Amino acid sequence: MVNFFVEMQEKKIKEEKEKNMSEILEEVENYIIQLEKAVMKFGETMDDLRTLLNDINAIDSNSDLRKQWYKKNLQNEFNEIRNKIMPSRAIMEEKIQALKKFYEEHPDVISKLSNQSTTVTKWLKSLK
Amino acid sequence: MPKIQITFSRDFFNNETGAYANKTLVSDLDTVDALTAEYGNIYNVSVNYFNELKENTDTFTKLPDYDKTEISRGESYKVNPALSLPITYESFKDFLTANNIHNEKVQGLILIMLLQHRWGLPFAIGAGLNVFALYLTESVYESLTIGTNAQKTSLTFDEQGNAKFHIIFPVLVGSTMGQDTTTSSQCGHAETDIYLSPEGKINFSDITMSIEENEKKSLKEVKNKLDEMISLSNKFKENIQPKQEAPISKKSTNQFGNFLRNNPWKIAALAGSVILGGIGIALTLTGIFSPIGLAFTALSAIGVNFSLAGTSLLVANAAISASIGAIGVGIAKGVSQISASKPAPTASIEQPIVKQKKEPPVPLVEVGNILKKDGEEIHTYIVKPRPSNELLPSKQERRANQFIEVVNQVPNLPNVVNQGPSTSQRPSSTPTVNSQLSPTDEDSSGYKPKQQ
Repeated sequence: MVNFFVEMQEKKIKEEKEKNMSEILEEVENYIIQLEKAVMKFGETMDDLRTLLNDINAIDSNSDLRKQWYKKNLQNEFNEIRNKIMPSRAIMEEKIQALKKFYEEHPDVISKLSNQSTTVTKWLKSLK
Repeated sequence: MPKIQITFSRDFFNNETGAYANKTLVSDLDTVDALTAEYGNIYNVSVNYFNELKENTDTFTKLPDYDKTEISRGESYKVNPALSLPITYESFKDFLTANNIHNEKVQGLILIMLLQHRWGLPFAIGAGLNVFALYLTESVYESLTIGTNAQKTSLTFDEQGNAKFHIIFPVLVGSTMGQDTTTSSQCGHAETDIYLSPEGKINFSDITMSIEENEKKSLKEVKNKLDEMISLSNKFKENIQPKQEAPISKKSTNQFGNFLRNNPWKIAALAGSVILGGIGIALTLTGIFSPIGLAFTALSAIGVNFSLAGTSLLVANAAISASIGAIGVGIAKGVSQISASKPAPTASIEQPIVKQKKEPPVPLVEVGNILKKDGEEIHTYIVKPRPSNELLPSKQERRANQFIEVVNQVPNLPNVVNQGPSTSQRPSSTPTVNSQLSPTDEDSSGYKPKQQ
């Protein structure tokens, strides 16, 4: 009888652990998916900035006043966008570092992630 | 034959409108031909540049060579009968001097205003009008455009040395975006006056665009398009109208004050209760201790009855218990309970609610009067500038905003009981985002966004 209760208790604990683990995995998956979206959006924003940078660099610094004026305007726009995204970029980097730390501390959790081939998951898996 | 006349108010062509035209078109790039974006950009750049130059007139004495040679390009610069071909930079300056324009900076300013290349005002204004004309276009085969290449400018002076520029643009309809005048037919014109004082002060007149029926372009189609824009403009205006909650009265934190203000009939009952109750008690006392008490006692009874009736109204309305015996206490208690149990309506003097604005990506258009001239009906419309604070974000800004929004949506990682790190599985590297990106530096994003 005692064994039965012990077994039941162990089974219950095991189920509880599994349940917790599935919730944790879900949260980690969600974290990675959202983080990947941020990374992709960051890449697109950087594409825009690169295009702008190319336009700026295409204007010769010896060109006339009007082109210099246009160049100055493009540079202002570039700087505004760059400054605007900087704080969010810092947050994104913090999130990446947090994920890295999480991976270091809980490799067992990462190993159980479903094989959704997001960029960040791929990166995590590739580190093994 | 009916006509359509569209008036662009003089402040339509200002810095903000230029920025608006540019930003709107850039944000609409998915649906609008890239050429229109170029127009918006040219307009923006030209007008802004021009306005900036105006503040620093020194630059007018340092004109680049291509400005000086541009004036001799052809007959289109014969802006006054007094000018004879071939026109040179020197002969043009002589012409200005002969018309009492002696200041070299103002001479340079006039030259820049006349230039027909991309940096000149006629091209910029034409490009701005083109942005609007494209909204009136259903298909590229019947596109309505402003023939900036075929614009005609005249320059005259009055005795005080004020210069007047009169610019006329043909409004074209055709399959080549209107720029090739040989395959497009004219269906109207746009014109404007620009005045320049000897001190260099510039005034713009309204710009009027007239459109007539054409075999390739029906006025009905143009009117339908204008109606669409008016509808969107009206929707935009409705959306920014303040919406107020009714009824509005001053809100007080004093519940008793609110009660008095919002329950007039209860106040009447209360007052009757107090007055008649007082009289009743006085009369009752008088009746007990006076030899003529009978009559007063009868009155007293009436007073008490009124008092009770008044109080009972309060009781009925607000469920006040145990207040009948002591009228004064009951009234005070009743008021307090009524106020607490049934608060005054939520009148507010706070800021009115303004609905979220949703901007239509079109200029603001209003319908004007129907004019009659020589038996002709002219349907008029007025185009107004959008407020400068209503500028749409550029494509790049929108992308940056999306990035910021997505970053804010990344949740926190869950808390997990630490089971100890596995040193063998530690990552050896971390993805990196580029650390530096400036107009002069190359960046090196670790995420390898698409290559240019």
